[in-house]
Amino acid sequence: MNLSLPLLKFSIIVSSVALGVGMTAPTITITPGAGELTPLVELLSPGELEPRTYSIARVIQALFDGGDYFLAIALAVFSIIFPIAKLGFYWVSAGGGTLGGPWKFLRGIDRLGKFSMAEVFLLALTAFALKDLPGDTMVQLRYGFYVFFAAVLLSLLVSSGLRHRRKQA
Amino acid sequence: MTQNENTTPSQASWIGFLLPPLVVLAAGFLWIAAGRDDSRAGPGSVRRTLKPDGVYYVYVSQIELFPTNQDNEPWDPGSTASPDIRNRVVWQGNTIYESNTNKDTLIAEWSGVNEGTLDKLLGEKMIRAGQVRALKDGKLTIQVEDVDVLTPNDPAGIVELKLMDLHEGINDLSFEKTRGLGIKRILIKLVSRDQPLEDIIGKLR
Repeated sequence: MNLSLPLLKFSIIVSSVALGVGMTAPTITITPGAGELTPLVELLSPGELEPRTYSIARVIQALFDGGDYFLAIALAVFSIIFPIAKLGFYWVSAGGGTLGGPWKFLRGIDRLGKFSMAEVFLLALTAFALKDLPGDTMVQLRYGFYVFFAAVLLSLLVSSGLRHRRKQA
Repeated sequence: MTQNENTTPSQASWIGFLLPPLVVLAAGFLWIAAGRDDSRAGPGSVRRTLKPDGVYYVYVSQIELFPTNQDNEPWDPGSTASPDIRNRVVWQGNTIYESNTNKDTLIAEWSGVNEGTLDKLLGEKMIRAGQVRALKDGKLTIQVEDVDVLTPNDPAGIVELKLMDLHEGINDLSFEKTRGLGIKRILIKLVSRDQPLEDIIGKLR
């Protein structure tokens, strides 16, 4: 994909904003259920069945609080730290970073990037939801998920644009 | 372009590396801050003026009394016991809401929703609030008293409010102590009836 450098830079900034918003905005709403016992639980402890909304940052915090350190760290690294670092390297590359430096890094990051964000995030969310919630629990995706996903797609677009430019260089 | 330029990233480039992370963090923090402001002024406490002629649920969610009564004497003469607080909301000369009694406290709190197990078993109404119509010159009177079992109840004060001075959500009102008023602070909640029941209940909690 042939994208001009200003357009690539603009996409990186938009992707950064979307990533920041997507990580902190409401991403998932979980409405707990207790199957056939739902009416009874509603009667005895209505608070237990109140819908709960999480952002990605809150999911990670909840995993930490629940003692799931491995999942929490994996999610933090692949869904927060890595994508942010990746955008930094993209910016360097788009800003005329030299071939021997940032480009080299970019190749490795691109390779790792295939496993980052959306897939791992979804996996962790599913695991989190299945692990904690019994009965006919409902999971609903909120706008934060789509903003985050937009950041992922935009970042892929930037990556593709930079690869194209690298080939041309 | 020299070989050196080709292989050594300029310092500016590496400083530029920090730009996207900073943008991500700034966007995240701003979003959280905006969310906090929303929740502070948000559901249940949005500062929206009352719609003329609109119908609103109203109840007092919190009352704080001064440590001593209007006469600067203990609430329960001869003891250090705290007052048992109850309030009434009067509109157009009629009591439209009367709270339960909060015992032994200077800060009493109430919910606008009955959701305890006992309430459900007893078939109590879910919404525990009065209803008022936002008339142009409408007034709301809040009567607060210290409930005593053996002696007559002691009035803690009466507050009269212009309805149209209030807004939807929580109205936080503070008062100076006077000869007739032992009330330090009142939180009155108004929720429009013109919305789905689930939203009303959520805002009345």
